[in-house]
Amino acid sequence: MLVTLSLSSLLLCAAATILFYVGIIGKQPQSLQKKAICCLAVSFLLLSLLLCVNFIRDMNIFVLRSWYLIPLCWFLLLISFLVYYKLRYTTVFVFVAPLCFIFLLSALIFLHQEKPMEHLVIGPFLVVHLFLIFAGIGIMGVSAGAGALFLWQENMLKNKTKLVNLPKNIPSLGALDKVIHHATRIGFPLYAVGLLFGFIWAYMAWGRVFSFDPKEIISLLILALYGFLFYEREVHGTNGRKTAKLALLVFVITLFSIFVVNVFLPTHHGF
Amino acid sequence: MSVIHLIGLNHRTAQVEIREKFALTEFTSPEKWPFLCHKCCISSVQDKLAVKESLILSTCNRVEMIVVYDGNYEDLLKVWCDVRHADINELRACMYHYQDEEAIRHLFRVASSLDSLVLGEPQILGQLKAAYRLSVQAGHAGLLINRLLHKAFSVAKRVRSETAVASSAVSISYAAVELAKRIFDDMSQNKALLLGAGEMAELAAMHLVNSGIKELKIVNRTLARAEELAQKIGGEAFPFDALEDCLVDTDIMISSTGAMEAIIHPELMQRVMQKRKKRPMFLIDIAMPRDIDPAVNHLDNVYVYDIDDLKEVVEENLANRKQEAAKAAQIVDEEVKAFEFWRGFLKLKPTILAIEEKGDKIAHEEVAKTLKNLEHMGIHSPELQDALEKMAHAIVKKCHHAPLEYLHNSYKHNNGEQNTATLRSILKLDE
Repeated sequence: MLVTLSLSSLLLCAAATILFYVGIIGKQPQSLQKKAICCLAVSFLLLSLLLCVNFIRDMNIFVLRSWYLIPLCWFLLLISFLVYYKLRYTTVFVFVAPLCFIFLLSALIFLHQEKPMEHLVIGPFLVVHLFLIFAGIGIMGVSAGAGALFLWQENMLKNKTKLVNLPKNIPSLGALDKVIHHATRIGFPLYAVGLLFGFIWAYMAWGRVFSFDPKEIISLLILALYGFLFYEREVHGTNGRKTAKLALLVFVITLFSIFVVNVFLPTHHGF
Repeated sequence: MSVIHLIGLNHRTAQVEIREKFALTEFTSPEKWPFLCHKCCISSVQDKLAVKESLILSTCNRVEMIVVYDGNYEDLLKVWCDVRHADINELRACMYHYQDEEAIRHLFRVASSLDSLVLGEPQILGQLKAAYRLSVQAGHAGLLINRLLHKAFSVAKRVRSETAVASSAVSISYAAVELAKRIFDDMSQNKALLLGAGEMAELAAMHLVNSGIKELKIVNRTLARAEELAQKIGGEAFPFDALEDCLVDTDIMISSTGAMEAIIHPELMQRVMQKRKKRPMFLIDIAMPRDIDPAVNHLDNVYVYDIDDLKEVVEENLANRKQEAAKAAQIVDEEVKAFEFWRGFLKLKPTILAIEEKGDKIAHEEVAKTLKNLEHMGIHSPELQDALEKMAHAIVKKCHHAPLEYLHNSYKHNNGEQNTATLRSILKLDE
């Protein structure tokens, strides 16, 4: 049942991605994007069901490589739908749909290569750590989507090339900048506190807060960059291209951390 | 069946002097309508032509009349020339006449703004709606005009939603406002600055004001001229010395001074951007020679568009509209076919009525005969009569179902008229 649910979600995300991009290429985004959003909504509901069933059954499953990616995908969709509900921006989904597809596909591929975490101690600190980190990364993903759209649109406006190709329903640069601003304002504290809980849990599980594990090092690097973005935006009011680039960079490093560090480097986060 | 005529002249076929001469804009009230509708029983009006239905569309770029009339369209030209006291040969030289399918196609193209001077402009639909309202008030819109115009409005809506024929700006000042909307989230929170008080800048500023800009400042070397303009379009005038301070608080600037060299340099803008915490700025330079050094565009969060850039945007948009017009033409063709199909059904109506009438007559006669025979046999009751009548009509209806369905289908395959004639002769409907 669990595989069926995640496979259905994966197919729905794939369908949403195809619908979004066919709509953009065919210059008819309005008619297809509604169907794409419906696919993502159903996918989100299926993932919610999947997570509930698992949470009740066995919490340990979340620190397996495949199940680590599913809540991440769920958070990404949740934040996107919150942005859609609040601001009616549909273009964030253009970025989020393929990302969710990649997350779910990876989760299914990793399903048969499970490697349980060493000295696993499940406790409230781990749950809070995972919850906050996933929420932080989900928000980071949405702000990176807004950042990518910002850079693309800004580049066209600056260079004045083929402005006619800019889809009508892309939010303005100001609106995308606002998304990055709010996402950073909420996402960074969540990520920072999540990491703090992770260190506390590490102390409880392994007897040390920091063990120079590659995952820990890259997480601190992400925290530093995310913090720099937060500081620049909140203290100096920096906006526009610089913050968009930073938001994108932070998320790219996070993806590197999830798909490369977790899988290919010797780390006790290699689940 | 009634013929739909569309006669008219437009910006392509006639110069403005000719269009003026044949304009029908004064026929804005039903009493002045040049035709007499057969439904309006004003038989005393002998000089007017009795047409079945009519609609007049008279705008600055076109004068057209759509008339449902069985006679020769030359009669319509005569009426037109009579009411305008103009020469019919002059009208013939620059007019067009479409009939039935072509008339429908032309109307759909007009409503979708595919025949407009500026492709995709939205005003024509409003003008057509006003013309239709007038035709309805005059009692000149019947079954065909009503259906035709409603269809034209829905075709126009479909073209707008399914193609990008009306999507992008095709005037310089509107293109500037559209670009501003791409940069800023909420125009009502933005402040604009007009540098110089030229006519073009005034026009662009008017567009900004209309799009709901929060505040407008006008900076000019001659303060009196700035104050005059500020009063005219609503804004606040500032002397030229206050330019840098004004820029700090400005999101959109339109520049059109008569200066011979650039007055906005990267150094000045760097200072300004520093002070405004690098909030984005959109600078529109419509001066010739340019007021803004092109290097300013290299600064972060500053977007500079000069007159050539805006012209390029407009040209790209126009080219895109032309591309989209091909898609729109396909939609129009589809809808014309659908409308002609519906008109085909109208032709079928008299045959359907004749078949039903004949069937009812036969059923009635046969029931009467049977009842008479039953009465001789001593069987008589109102319930029996009722049941027999119901049965006879049901049999007739069922027998007619297949041939009527065959006729419906044959209209779909364009041989409806021939098959209708065959069926009429088989069933002896015309005897």
